[in-house]
Order: sequence, then C-alpha cells, then structure tokens
Amino acid sequence: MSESWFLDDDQLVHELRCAGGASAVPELRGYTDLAELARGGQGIVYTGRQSATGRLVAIKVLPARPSGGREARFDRELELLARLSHRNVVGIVDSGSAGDGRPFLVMELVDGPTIDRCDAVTAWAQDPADAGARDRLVELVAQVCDGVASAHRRGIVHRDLKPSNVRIDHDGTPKVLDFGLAKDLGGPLDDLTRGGASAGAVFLGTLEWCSPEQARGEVDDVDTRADVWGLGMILYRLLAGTMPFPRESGLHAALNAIVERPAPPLRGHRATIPPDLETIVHHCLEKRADDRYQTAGELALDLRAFLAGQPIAVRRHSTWYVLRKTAARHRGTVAFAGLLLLSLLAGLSLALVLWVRAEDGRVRAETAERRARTALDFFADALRAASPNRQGPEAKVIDLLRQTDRSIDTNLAGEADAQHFLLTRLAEVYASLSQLDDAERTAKAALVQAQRAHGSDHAITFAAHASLAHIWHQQGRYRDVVDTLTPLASRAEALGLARDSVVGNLFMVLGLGHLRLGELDAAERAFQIAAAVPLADEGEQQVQAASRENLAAVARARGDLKTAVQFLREAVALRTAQLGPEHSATLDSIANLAFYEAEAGDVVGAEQRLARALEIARPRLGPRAITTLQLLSNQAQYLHRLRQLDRALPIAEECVAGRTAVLGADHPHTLVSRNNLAMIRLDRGDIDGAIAELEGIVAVRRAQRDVAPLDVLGPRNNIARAKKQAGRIADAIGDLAGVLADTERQLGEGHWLAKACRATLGLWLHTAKRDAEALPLLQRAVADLTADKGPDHADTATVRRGLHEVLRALGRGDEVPVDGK
Amino acid sequence: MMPSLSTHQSLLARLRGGDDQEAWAECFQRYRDLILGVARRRGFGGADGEDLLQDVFVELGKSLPKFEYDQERGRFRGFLKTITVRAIGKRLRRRGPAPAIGTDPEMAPDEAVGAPDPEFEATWEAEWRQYHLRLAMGVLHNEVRATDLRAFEAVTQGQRDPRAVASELGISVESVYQAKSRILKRLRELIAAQVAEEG
Repeated sequence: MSESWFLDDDQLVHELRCAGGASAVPELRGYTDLAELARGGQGIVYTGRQSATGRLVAIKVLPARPSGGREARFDRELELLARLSHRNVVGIVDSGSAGDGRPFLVMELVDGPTIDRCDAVTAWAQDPADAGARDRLVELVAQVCDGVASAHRRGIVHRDLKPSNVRIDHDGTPKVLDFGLAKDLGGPLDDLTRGGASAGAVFLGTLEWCSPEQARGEVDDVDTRADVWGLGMILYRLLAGTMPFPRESGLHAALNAIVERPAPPLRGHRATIPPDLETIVHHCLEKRADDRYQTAGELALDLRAFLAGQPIAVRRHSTWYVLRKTAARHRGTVAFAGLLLLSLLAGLSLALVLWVRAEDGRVRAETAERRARTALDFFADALRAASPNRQGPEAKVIDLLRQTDRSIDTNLAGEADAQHFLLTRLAEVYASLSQLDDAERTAKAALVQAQRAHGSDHAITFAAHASLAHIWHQQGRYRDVVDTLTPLASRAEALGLARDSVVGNLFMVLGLGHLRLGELDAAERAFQIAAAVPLADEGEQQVQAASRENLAAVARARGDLKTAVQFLREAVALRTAQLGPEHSATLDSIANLAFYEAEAGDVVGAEQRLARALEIARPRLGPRAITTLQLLSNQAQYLHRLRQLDRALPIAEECVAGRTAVLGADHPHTLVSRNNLAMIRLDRGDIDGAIAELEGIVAVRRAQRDVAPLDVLGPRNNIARAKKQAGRIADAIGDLAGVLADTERQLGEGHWLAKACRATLGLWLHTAKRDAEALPLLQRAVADLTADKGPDHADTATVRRGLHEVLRALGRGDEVPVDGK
Repeated sequence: MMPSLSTHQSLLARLRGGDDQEAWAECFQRYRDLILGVARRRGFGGADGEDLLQDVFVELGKSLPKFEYDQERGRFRGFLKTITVRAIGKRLRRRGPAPAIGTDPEMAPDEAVGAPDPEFEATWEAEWRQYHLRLAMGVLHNEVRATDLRAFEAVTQGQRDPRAVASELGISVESVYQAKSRILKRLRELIAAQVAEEG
C-alpha cells in the first residue's frame, strides 16, 4: 500500500470526502420534526413525530443495510422484534428504509430515569432499613425479568443488560431498551452520550456487565443465561450500591475478575438484605451458565416468591433452608436461644422417633438417615452458632444431650439403624462442645448399632468407624487412628466402596491422622480418594470441601503455598455454595484461606479477608461463637504482623475474653490467644502487661497434666525477652539461663529452642559485659548456626560478630580471623 | 473529535504495562471507528458491529501484553488486523448452540487465517487512511481557528464555491484559499509524522 496518499492534495481531499458521512437529517416517510439526539457507532438516534398519531418517537437510523448474507438474519430479527410486544420492553413501532437506503427503526420514546436513578433505588441507597424501598426495587427488576423473558421465549437475547438499558416510564413501568438490533449506546437522555464520558469509558463500562462466557470470548455460548447474569448484576448493583467485581485497571484483569473471582456475598455490603434475596442474586451470578436460572422467567418467579415471603425454589438450600427459616424465627438473645434450643432438641428427638416409626412401621434407611442427619445437623450447627456461656445454658444442653441419648436407647430399642444415626450425630455434638469422653462413648455405641444393623462390610459401618476415629483424632491419638483405619480403608477399597460418599469420611480421617504424623504422601493419597467422592447431595459437598482443605494442609507441609491457597479457595467456594456464606463452616474455611494467604506473604489481603468474614460472623453467629473467636484470633495476629498494634490490641483482648469464657482458661486455644496478646502488648511497650499475661500462661500450663515441655518453655522464653526489652537485663539473663537449662534437660541440647537460647543468651551476656560467660555460648552458637544455616546466613553473621567482639573484649583479638570469619 | 493524547508508541507501552485503564479507554477511542468501519464494510452493521468491536478488544486485552513490539514497519497494524480478521471469521462461522463442555477457547486449535483476501486488504487500508485522517483532524481542531476550519470543510468536503463560503463567513476569498492550502499542508505533516511514528 502506498504510504504517500496524503502527499497528494487530490487524494487527501478525496479521503476527506469519504469521511464526511451522511450527517444530513434523512427524509423518513411518515415522520417529521426529526432532531438528532445521539450518535453512536451503529447509527444515529433522532426524536421525531409520527405523522399518523402525532406522538413522539425515537428513530434510529442505521448506517447501512447489512450485506454478505447477513441480510436474512437482519430481517428476521427485525421481524421478531417488531412482534415483541410487552409492557416491559420498549416496543418497535415501525421500520423502513430511508431515501438513501439506510434502514431505520422507530421505537417508543421513554423519557424517564434509568433504573439506577429511580426513586426506589435512591431511597434504598439512603436508608438500608427501608425494606419497602428494597421490595419496590425488587418488584421493578421482576418486571424487567418479565420483559426479558418474553424475548427469551422468542429466542431473542439481549446480551447487553445493564441499568442504563432500563428506563422507568412516567407511570412507573420499567422498560428494557435495546434488544439485539435496536442496541444503542444509551437512551435519549443518557448524559453519557452527551459529551460526558468518552466512548472508551463507555465501552469499558459495558464490559463490566458482561457475563463470563462473553468475557472469555465464547461467542457461540452467549444465550439466555447471559441475560440472567446481566439481571443478576443489575440486582447486585442496585442492592449493594456497588459492583461485585472491582474495577481493575487493565482490560485483561477486569475480564479475569469476571471469569474467576466469586462475587462477594451480597449481605456483606448490606446486612439488611435477607438471605433469600442474596441466594437469588448469587444464583444468577454463577460462573457456569448451567448453574444459573436458565431463563429470566425462572428468576422472575423466585423474585416474586421472595416478595411474597414464600420459600424460593433454588435447589441447593432445600432442606437446610426450611430448617434455617425455622431457626431464624427462634433466634433471640443467647440465653433465650439456648433454652429454646433445649426444648426444641427434646421435642424434635421425640418427633424424630415418631417420624421414624411412621415409615410403614419399618425403618427405611435413606429417609431416616436424611431426616436424622438433617435434624441433628441443624442442632449441631445451631448449638455451635449460639455458643452460650459455658457455665450457663451450655451445661444444661449437655445434660439434655445425655438424656436424649438415653431416650434414644429406650425409644428406639430394636431399631439399630435409627439409633446409629442419632448416636452418631450426638457424638458430633458432644465433640463440638469439647466433651470428648462423652463423644467417644457415644460414638462407640453408634458403631455397635451400625454393625448390628448393617454388618461389618457396609458403607455405614465404615462411616461409623470413621466417626469414632475422628474423635480419637481430636484426642490426639493419631497412631490409633492410622492403625485402626488403614486396614478398614483397604477393605473398603476392595469392596468397591471408596467412592461412596459416606465412606469418604473414613479416608478423610485417615488422611488427617497421617498428616499429623508427618506422613505426607500417605495423607495426600487418602485425601485424594476422599476428594474424588462424587457429589450427589449436600452432605457430600462437605467431604469435598474438607478434603480440599486437607490437601491444602499437605501442600503447605511440603512448602507449596500456592497450591495450598488454590485448594482452599476451592473449599471456600464449595462451602459457600452448599452451606451459604454465613455458615460457621464456611467462615472457618475462610479463616483457613486467610491463614495460607498470610503464609504466602499476603498478610494485608488475609487481614482484609478476615475483617469481611467477621462482619458476617459477629452478627450472624454471635460474638462468642467459636468461629468468630477463631477469626478474631487470626485477625489480631495479622494486624500484629502488619504492625497495626492499636487495632490489634482490642481484638486480641476480645478474643482472649471470649475464649476464656467459652472454652475455659486452660484450653490450648485460649492459651495461644493469650500468648499472642502478650506479644502485642510487648510490642506496644506494655512490658508489665505482657509479662503478666505470660506468667499467667505459665501458671496454667504448669497446673496441667501431661503438658508438653515446649508449652511451658515457650512462654518462659518470651518472658525473658520481655524483660530484656524492659531493660531489666539482669533478670532477663537469669530467666533465659533457666530456660536454657530446662530445655537442655527436657528436650535435649540439640533442640532448636536450646540453640536459639544459647545464641541469645550469649549476646545478652556480652551486652551486660559478662564476656567470659558469653564466650563458650557464642562459640557453640556459631558452630551450630554455621552447620544449620550456613556461614553466610544473616543470623550466623550476627552471632559471629558478637563472638568477635567478645574475643576482642577479652584481649584475644588475635584469634579473630583476618577475613572476619 | 477527541484530540490524541499520546503518541502511538507511548500508548502501546502503557497498554503493555497492563495496568492503565485510561490507556485502554484511549486505545478504544482511537481504533473504534476503524474497527467499526471495517466491520460495517464486511456486513457487520449496527449491533453486530458493536459485538465485533467488543470481540476485538477482548482479544486485544488478552494478547497485547504478550505482543512483542519491534521496529519493523506496521507491526501493530498487522497485529490488529490479524485479530480483526479472526474475530470476523469466528462470527461468520457460527456454529449452532454449542454444548457447554468447558474447553478453554484459548486452548482450542487456532483457526487458520487463510489466504490473504484482497477485498479485505483494500477495506483495511481504506479504514486506516480514515483513521489517520481522523487522528490528524483531531489535532488540527485545536490548532486552527474555527473560521478557517469551517472554510476548509465547506470547500473540500462540502465542495462549495469559495466565494459563497467567503461571504457567508465574512472573510475574504483569499483567506478561504489560504485556509485550504494551509490546512492541507498541516494535515500532510501530521499524517506523515503519525505514519512514521507508527513504525
């Protein structure tokens, strides 16, 4: 091609003329008073008056008729659109050709505000307690769905749904603009096309709303479900006040976010959004089109069901949902909830017995299992969530549980199967309250019943073994777990039961045992088998999620944090999908994910993740729920690492107070939190406070039976450091020397703590000018560090420098090597 | 007409950096009409053109960070052409509703672009000339007096009689002729610089 076209005036002028374009107002038969309103790449929109009726209309003139075989499609779409007559769709009134052959479309003129600026939305934005505004908003969107649905029934997909394409007419009717052919850059009064944002910004704005399949460029997979996504995005935006996917700065990153990132729970933005509504919206925003509502009509149905207060249809939450609705009605103060739960528990276990009996007088395994599991899952969860004060209602709950398990025995005598299930669930409840002896006893009884009901080689019996082993795991009896379950696992595999969901648990527990014992390959193998269990219903998804969490633990043990984070992300997604974003198990998963992210270096991200999770946990689970306290504990640690000590302190204190109350002063988790609190105090300069906390820990530890030496020596070591920081160096040295002596005695001279103490003590002695005492320690330390970390490691260098200074101080400077090593 | 804010090279550099939303908006602004023009000429008018535009930019978003800019003439132009041709091809070869199997489209074998299509080439070149013109006119709008510009447009594009134009605008006929020749010269300079800078 000649690059000299512009050098010739005639050619240049010719080009200029080509660029001119048809900007003159066209002659259109039947329409007068044309005035240009907006101009886009696909045509010019005018307002005009229809001669026959005198009414104002919008007329879009397209630049050219399509050519090259696309005419047929164009005409067909035009025809379909013209026949689309629905109160919620801007109607095509007429079409034709202008004098110069350009096609034009005549549409109703809608001059109201776009849906994101209508009254209902504005009211809701200002007042999150205004449920009336919220419901009006939802009703408007339901009508929009009606319009889109009518197009879907005719095979017309909009593909570009967003708030600027929905306008509210003067009588309050929402109308969808710009289906297919009639697409526009915006409506008549949209200030975007009036010299506001550039076309580039408009384009990127459109891109924000597109579905994952569109973002991936999967041209052929864009169908009605893409519109469902669009409707979900509209709902999200209007309800939350913000977009689900952050405005990334690169085009690729923005599209990536749409394709990969899960939408943050809607209720995280506004806690006053009811869970059902959140469920509906997120169901529209499933990444896979198959997982969404399949048409706008289904969505409209569920929106209206929500408005009427009826259960919504979304499959996932079926049984769980109904029970949760019941529980929600009974939530109140913690104490009240506790008492109510007691009566519910008593009542329901009785009712359960009656249910089981009612099945033709014969126990049908699956239904009974499902009911029992459902009912007691509900309770286990409700108990965990309500988490009453240990001295109060919780004690009574335990009594009642004991009563219940006795009553199961009497009421269900002879019905081994039913007994087994109830006992298993009860064991879990005991375990969740840390009553491990009761849990073990109950789980053993459950196993007996399972064997009686089903025999040794049945999936259910295997699962009962797994439940018992899980309790052993919680008691720290890992060897028992592995030794007992390994032959059972082989047997299950041999019987072809490994893919049974119920048996999946067995592999999970076995894997956990291996993991704790450091047998990583065996652990991984077991978890992979568990992770491969096919998903048939809700219970199984738990296994899948938990397996992934465990595979993450294996990856981490191997140092592969990237994989660990990936597995955890999957686990969180699974739990969120199955249990909902406010379930304690989901939040526990999120805490784990944050933990791994922090380990991988993203402490800021981890802390933010926890902060968001706590916004859900505190109101929904309660400030003293086990999960909430775990989240607090982790958040405090990350804030500490980020040196945001003022924020960290109250959170750490809240955590310690909560754990002391709920778990007890001697629970290991409580002590961990106290240690972390002490470290925070230390870094804030509150030495005395830190030391007090640490001494408290030491006291508790010393009073325990079978305490691990490190659990006492660790805090003592920290006390020494605290004193040193306070300038009380003589005391510090004394304490640390004691720690060193005890460490060598209890853990051996080669233990890492001994080595660390030696090095530190040596340096401190030097600082105190007690160089003669420092010397042997530092010599030993340098040797150890050189062997362990290498001669060039920073720590080695630091200690070596100290050693050299000591040598010089002792007048033995000639022993310092010339090259400084 | 939006004045050009960046040189072609600097814009590319910002886009390849990957982090610059304004750069993308600018890129879009720049090449939008070009792509739409090509699309229209290939029968993708109206909404289809907009869809195609989106396809091209989505692909650009994915591929640009990997694009190796070298000093060979017209590399970016060729790159953009390839993407456009592919996008058009993809839409032309529409299959029926595909079952959602979940194959990543990026892993699907690349569709052969095929023999160069002379008609397409001509279309493409024509649109590039228009693109350069638009770009240059954008700059010109800020440099030149409004009256001169109106005179120029009336005489060149409107093909009107210079004397009528002169009297309408209240200037001398000589001014009209001068405006025309000055602006043409300036256009030549601008476009020459653009083309040279494009590489």
